Amino acid sequence: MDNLSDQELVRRIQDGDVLAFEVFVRRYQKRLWFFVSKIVYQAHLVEEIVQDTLFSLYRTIEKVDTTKTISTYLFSIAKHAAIDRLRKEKKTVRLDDIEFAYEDESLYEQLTRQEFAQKIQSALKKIPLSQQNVIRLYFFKELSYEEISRTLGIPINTVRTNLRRAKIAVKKLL
Amino acid sequence: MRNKDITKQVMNRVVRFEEARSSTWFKKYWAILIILGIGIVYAGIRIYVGYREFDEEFMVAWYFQDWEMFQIVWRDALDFIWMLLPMYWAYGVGIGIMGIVIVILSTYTKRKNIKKKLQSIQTYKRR
Repeated sequence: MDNLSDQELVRRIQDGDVLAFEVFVRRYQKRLWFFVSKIVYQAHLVEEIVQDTLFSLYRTIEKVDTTKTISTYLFSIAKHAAIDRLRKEKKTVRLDDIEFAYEDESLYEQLTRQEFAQKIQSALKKIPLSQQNVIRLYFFKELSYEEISRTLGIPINTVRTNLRRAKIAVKKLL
Repeated sequence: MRNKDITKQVMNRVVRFEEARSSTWFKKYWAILIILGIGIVYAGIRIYVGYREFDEEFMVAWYFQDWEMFQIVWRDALDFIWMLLPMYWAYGVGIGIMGIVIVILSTYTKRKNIKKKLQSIQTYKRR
Protein backbone atom coordinates (compact mmCIF):
# COMPACT_ATOMS: atom_id res chain seq x y z
CA MET A 1 0.00 0.00 0.00
CA ASP A 2 3.02 2.27 0.51
CA ASN A 3 3.43 2.61 -3.25
CA LEU A 4 -0.05 4.01 -3.80
CA SER A 5 -0.46 7.66 -4.75
CA ASP A 6 -2.15 10.11 -2.37
CA GLN A 7 -5.27 10.11 -4.50
CA GLU A 8 -5.52 6.33 -4.48
CA LEU A 9 -4.94 6.23 -0.75
CA VAL A 10 -7.68 8.77 -0.11
CA ARG A 11 -10.03 6.88 -2.41
CA ARG A 12 -9.35 3.73 -0.39
CA ILE A 13 -10.03 5.56 2.87
CA GLN A 14 -13.23 6.95 1.40
CA ASP A 15 -14.23 3.38 0.49
CA GLY A 16 -13.86 2.34 4.12
CA ASP A 17 -10.26 1.17 4.41
CA VAL A 18 -9.25 2.82 7.69
CA LEU A 19 -5.82 1.15 7.58
CA ALA A 20 -4.96 3.12 4.45
CA PHE A 21 -5.03 6.22 6.62
CA GLU A 22 -2.14 4.81 8.63
CA VAL A 23 0.00 4.87 5.49
CA PHE A 24 -1.13 8.43 4.87
CA VAL A 25 -0.19 9.46 8.42
CA ARG A 26 3.27 7.89 8.09
CA ARG A 27 3.77 9.57 4.76
CA TYR A 28 2.88 13.07 5.88
CA GLN A 29 3.65 13.42 9.56
CA LYS A 30 7.32 14.42 9.11
CA ARG A 31 6.52 17.00 6.46
CA LEU A 32 3.68 18.35 8.56
CA TRP A 33 5.89 18.49 11.63
CA PHE A 34 8.49 20.45 9.71
CA PHE A 35 5.85 22.77 8.24
CA VAL A 36 4.12 23.46 11.57
CA SER A 37 7.38 23.93 13.45
CA LYS A 38 8.11 26.88 11.16
CA ILE A 39 5.02 28.59 12.56
CA VAL A 40 4.92 27.32 16.14
CA TYR A 41 8.07 26.84 18.19
CA GLN A 42 6.91 24.73 21.15
CA ALA A 43 7.36 21.00 20.50
CA HIS A 44 4.27 19.92 22.45
CA LEU A 45 2.11 22.36 20.49
CA VAL A 46 3.55 21.21 17.19
CA GLU A 47 2.68 17.63 18.08
CA GLU A 48 -0.87 18.58 19.01
CA ILE A 49 -1.34 20.60 15.84
CA VAL A 50 -0.02 17.81 13.61
CA GLN A 51 -2.31 15.32 15.35
CA ASP A 52 -5.29 17.66 15.05
CA THR A 53 -4.53 18.30 11.38
CA LEU A 54 -4.40 14.63 10.49
CA PHE A 55 -7.49 13.90 12.55
CA SER A 56 -9.38 16.78 10.89
CA LEU A 57 -8.41 15.40 7.51
CA TYR A 58 -9.80 12.01 8.45
CA ARG A 59 -13.05 13.53 9.72
CA THR A 60 -13.62 15.32 6.44
CA ILE A 61 -12.07 12.69 4.18
CA GLU A 62 -15.39 11.88 2.50
CA LYS A 63 -15.60 15.43 1.18
CA VAL A 64 -12.05 15.49 -0.18
CA ASP A 65 -11.91 15.85 -3.95
CA THR A 66 -9.47 13.19 -5.15
CA THR A 67 -8.98 14.95 -8.48
CA LYS A 68 -7.15 17.76 -6.68
CA THR A 69 -3.86 17.78 -4.79
CA ILE A 70 -4.48 16.43 -1.32
CA SER A 71 -1.26 17.74 0.19
CA THR A 72 -2.33 21.34 -0.51
CA TYR A 73 -5.55 20.73 1.38
CA LEU A 74 -3.68 19.05 4.23
CA PHE A 75 -1.16 21.86 4.60
CA SER A 76 -3.89 24.48 4.52
CA ILE A 77 -5.60 22.66 7.42
CA ALA A 78 -2.26 22.62 9.25
CA LYS A 79 -1.68 26.30 8.60
CA HIS A 80 -5.09 27.28 9.91
CA ALA A 81 -4.75 25.00 12.92
CA ALA A 82 -1.35 26.49 13.74
CA ILE A 83 -2.59 30.07 13.38
CA ASP A 84 -5.66 29.34 15.51
CA ARG A 85 -3.48 27.80 18.19
CA LEU A 86 -1.06 30.73 18.10
CA ARG A 87 -3.95 33.13 18.47
CA LYS A 88 -5.24 31.23 21.49
CA GLU A 89 -1.80 31.09 23.05
CA LYS A 90 -1.28 34.77 22.37
CA LYS A 91 -4.49 35.59 24.16
CA THR A 92 -3.51 33.47 27.14
CA VAL A 93 -0.12 35.14 27.34
CA ARG A 94 -1.73 38.52 27.08
CA LEU A 95 -4.12 37.84 29.93
CA ASP A 96 -1.19 36.66 32.05
CA ASP A 97 0.74 39.78 31.18
CA ILE A 98 -2.22 41.91 32.14
CA GLU A 99 -2.52 40.16 35.48
CA PHE A 100 1.18 40.77 36.23
CA ALA A 101 0.90 44.32 35.02
CA TYR A 102 -2.00 44.96 37.35
CA GLU A 103 -0.06 43.53 40.27
CA ASP A 104 2.77 45.99 39.62
CA GLU A 105 0.59 49.00 39.00
CA SER A 106 -0.24 51.55 41.58
CA LEU A 107 -3.87 52.28 42.37
CA TYR A 108 -3.62 55.61 40.53
CA GLU A 109 -2.37 53.88 37.37
CA GLN A 110 -5.13 51.29 37.59
CA LEU A 111 -7.76 53.99 37.89
CA THR A 112 -6.28 55.91 34.98
CA ARG A 113 -6.31 52.78 32.86
CA GLN A 114 -9.94 52.03 33.76
CA GLU A 115 -10.93 55.60 33.04
CA PHE A 116 -9.23 55.46 29.65
CA ALA A 117 -10.94 52.14 28.85
CA GLN A 118 -14.31 53.68 29.73
CA LYS A 119 -13.57 56.65 27.50
CA ILE A 120 -12.79 54.36 24.58
CA GLN A 121 -15.95 52.35 25.20
CA SER A 122 -18.13 55.45 25.28
CA ALA A 123 -16.41 56.85 22.17
CA LEU A 124 -17.05 53.58 20.38
CA LYS A 125 -20.73 53.80 21.21
CA LYS A 126 -20.92 57.16 19.45
CA ILE A 127 -19.59 56.03 16.07
CA PRO A 128 -21.72 54.20 13.46
CA LEU A 129 -22.40 50.53 14.08
CA SER A 130 -20.59 49.39 10.92
CA GLN A 131 -17.43 51.12 12.13
CA GLN A 132 -17.90 49.85 15.68
CA ASN A 133 -18.06 46.25 14.45
CA VAL A 134 -14.91 46.59 12.39
CA ILE A 135 -12.94 48.21 15.19
CA ARG A 136 -14.05 45.62 17.73
CA LEU A 137 -13.14 42.74 15.47
CA TYR A 138 -9.80 44.26 14.51
CA PHE A 139 -8.56 45.44 17.91
CA PHE A 140 -10.36 43.24 20.41
CA LYS A 141 -10.76 39.97 18.51
CA GLU A 142 -7.51 40.54 16.59
CA LEU A 143 -8.93 39.35 13.28
CA SER A 144 -7.26 40.17 9.96
CA TYR A 145 -8.94 42.31 7.25
CA GLU A 146 -9.77 39.16 5.34
CA GLU A 147 -11.33 37.47 8.38
CA ILE A 148 -13.36 40.57 9.20
CA SER A 149 -14.51 40.73 5.60
CA ARG A 150 -15.66 37.11 5.80
CA THR A 151 -17.26 37.53 9.23
CA LEU A 152 -19.24 40.63 8.31
CA GLY A 153 -19.80 39.66 4.69
CA ILE A 154 -18.39 42.92 3.32
CA PRO A 155 -15.56 43.59 0.85
CA ILE A 156 -12.01 44.02 2.22
CA ASN A 157 -11.85 47.59 0.91
CA THR A 158 -14.96 48.47 2.91
CA VAL A 159 -13.30 46.96 6.00
CA ARG A 160 -10.26 49.13 5.38
CA THR A 161 -12.33 52.30 4.85
CA ASN A 162 -14.53 51.65 7.89
CA LEU A 163 -11.51 51.03 10.07
CA ARG A 164 -9.78 54.21 8.92
CA ARG A 165 -12.92 56.26 9.49
CA ALA A 166 -13.50 54.62 12.87
CA LYS A 167 -9.96 55.43 14.02
CA ILE A 168 -10.35 59.07 12.98
CA ALA A 169 -13.76 59.30 14.68
CA VAL A 170 -12.54 57.74 17.94
CA LYS A 171 -9.45 59.96 17.96
CA LYS A 172 -11.64 63.04 17.61
CA LEU A 173 -13.95 61.92 20.41
CA LEU A 174 -11.04 61.28 22.79
CA MET B 1 13.02 20.39 17.14
CA ARG B 2 12.98 16.60 16.68
CA ASN B 3 9.80 15.06 15.45
CA LYS B 4 8.44 11.84 16.91
CA ASP B 5 6.27 9.12 15.45
CA ILE B 6 2.66 10.01 16.17
CA THR B 7 1.07 7.39 13.91
CA LYS B 8 -0.22 5.38 16.86
CA GLN B 9 -1.74 8.38 18.62
CA VAL B 10 -3.47 9.58 15.46
CA MET B 11 -4.69 6.11 14.56
CA ASN B 12 -6.03 5.47 18.07
CA ARG B 13 -7.94 8.72 17.86
CA VAL B 14 -9.22 7.87 14.39
CA VAL B 15 -10.28 4.37 15.47
CA ARG B 16 -12.19 5.70 18.51
CA PHE B 17 -13.87 8.34 16.39
CA GLU B 18 -14.75 5.97 13.56
CA GLU B 19 -16.16 3.33 15.91
CA ALA B 20 -18.39 5.90 17.56
CA ARG B 21 -19.47 7.42 14.23
CA SER B 22 -20.17 4.07 12.57
CA SER B 23 -22.08 2.63 15.50
CA THR B 24 -24.17 5.82 15.74
CA TRP B 25 -24.93 5.53 12.03
CA PHE B 26 -25.96 1.89 12.38
CA LYS B 27 -28.14 2.74 15.38
CA LYS B 28 -29.91 5.43 13.37
CA TYR B 29 -30.26 3.10 10.40
CA TRP B 30 -31.83 0.33 12.49
CA ALA B 31 -34.01 2.82 14.37
CA ILE B 32 -35.48 4.05 11.06
CA LEU B 33 -36.07 0.47 9.85
CA ILE B 34 -37.64 -0.55 13.16
CA ILE B 35 -39.91 2.51 13.22
CA LEU B 36 -41.03 1.80 9.65
CA GLY B 37 -41.48 -1.89 10.52
CA ILE B 38 -43.58 -1.04 13.57
CA GLY B 39 -45.64 1.32 11.37
CA ILE B 40 -46.27 -1.46 8.86
CA VAL B 41 -47.23 -3.96 11.57
CA TYR B 42 -49.54 -1.41 13.21
CA ALA B 43 -51.22 -0.57 9.89
CA GLY B 44 -51.49 -4.31 9.15
CA ILE B 45 -53.20 -4.89 12.50
CA ARG B 46 -55.62 -2.06 11.81
CA ILE B 47 -56.45 -3.59 8.42
CA TYR B 48 -56.99 -6.98 10.05
CA VAL B 49 -59.20 -5.43 12.72
CA GLY B 50 -61.10 -3.63 9.94
CA TYR B 51 -61.80 -6.97 8.27
CA ARG B 52 -62.81 -8.55 11.55
CA GLU B 53 -65.53 -5.93 11.92
CA PHE B 54 -67.30 -7.55 9.00
CA ASP B 55 -67.20 -10.89 10.80
CA GLU B 56 -70.96 -11.48 10.78
CA GLU B 57 -71.42 -11.24 7.07
CA PHE B 58 -67.82 -11.87 6.09
CA MET B 59 -68.33 -12.82 2.48
CA VAL B 60 -64.70 -13.43 1.82
CA ALA B 61 -64.66 -16.27 4.32
CA TRP B 62 -67.52 -17.80 2.45
CA TYR B 63 -65.66 -17.54 -0.83
CA PHE B 64 -62.63 -19.27 0.70
CA GLN B 65 -64.60 -22.15 2.11
CA ASP B 66 -64.98 -23.87 -1.17
CA TRP B 67 -61.88 -24.03 -3.39
CA GLU B 68 -63.87 -24.85 -6.55
CA MET B 69 -66.17 -21.97 -5.88
CA PHE B 70 -63.18 -19.72 -5.25
CA GLN B 71 -61.64 -20.75 -8.58
CA ILE B 72 -64.78 -19.63 -10.32
CA VAL B 73 -65.34 -16.39 -8.48
CA TRP B 74 -61.81 -15.39 -7.42
CA ARG B 75 -62.04 -12.07 -9.26
CA ASP B 76 -65.20 -11.20 -7.36
CA ALA B 77 -63.51 -12.32 -4.14
CA LEU B 78 -60.54 -10.06 -4.79
CA ASP B 79 -62.88 -7.18 -5.66
CA PHE B 80 -64.67 -7.75 -2.40
CA ILE B 81 -61.46 -7.85 -0.38
CA TRP B 82 -60.33 -4.66 -2.10
CA MET B 83 -63.68 -3.01 -1.36
CA LEU B 84 -63.43 -3.86 2.35
CA LEU B 85 -59.80 -2.76 2.57
CA PRO B 86 -59.41 0.34 4.80
CA MET B 87 -57.57 2.48 2.27
CA TYR B 88 -55.99 4.84 4.80
CA TRP B 89 -54.13 2.00 6.53
CA ALA B 90 -53.40 0.27 3.25
CA TYR B 91 -51.59 3.40 2.08
CA GLY B 92 -49.73 3.32 5.38
CA VAL B 93 -48.50 -0.20 4.71
CA GLY B 94 -47.55 0.73 1.15
CA ILE B 95 -45.63 3.81 2.20
CA GLY B 96 -43.92 1.88 4.99
CA ILE B 97 -42.77 -0.87 2.65
CA MET B 98 -41.61 1.71 0.10
CA GLY B 99 -39.75 3.55 2.85
CA ILE B 100 -37.94 0.39 3.93
CA VAL B 101 -36.99 -0.46 0.36
CA ILE B 102 -35.74 3.10 -0.28
CA VAL B 103 -33.72 3.17 2.95
CA ILE B 104 -32.16 -0.23 2.24
CA LEU B 105 -31.30 0.58 -1.38
CA SER B 106 -30.09 4.13 -0.82
CA THR B 107 -27.76 3.14 2.02
CA TYR B 108 -26.27 0.14 0.27
CA THR B 109 -22.88 1.75 -0.48
CA LYS B 110 -22.72 3.46 2.87
CA ARG B 111 -23.44 0.20 4.70
CA LYS B 112 -20.79 -1.58 2.66
CA ASN B 113 -18.26 1.15 3.51
CA ILE B 114 -19.11 1.13 7.18
CA LYS B 115 -18.84 -2.66 7.39
CA LYS B 116 -15.45 -2.41 5.70
CA LYS B 117 -14.42 0.34 8.13
CA LEU B 118 -15.41 -1.75 11.14
CA GLN B 119 -13.56 -4.76 9.72
CA SER B 120 -10.38 -2.77 9.20
CA ILE B 121 -10.73 -1.34 12.71
CA GLN B 122 -10.87 -4.89 14.05
CA THR B 123 -7.77 -5.78 12.01
CA TYR B 124 -6.00 -2.73 13.47
CA LYS B 125 -6.97 -3.69 17.01
CA ARG B 126 -5.85 -7.31 16.60
CA ARG B 127 -2.29 -6.22 15.72
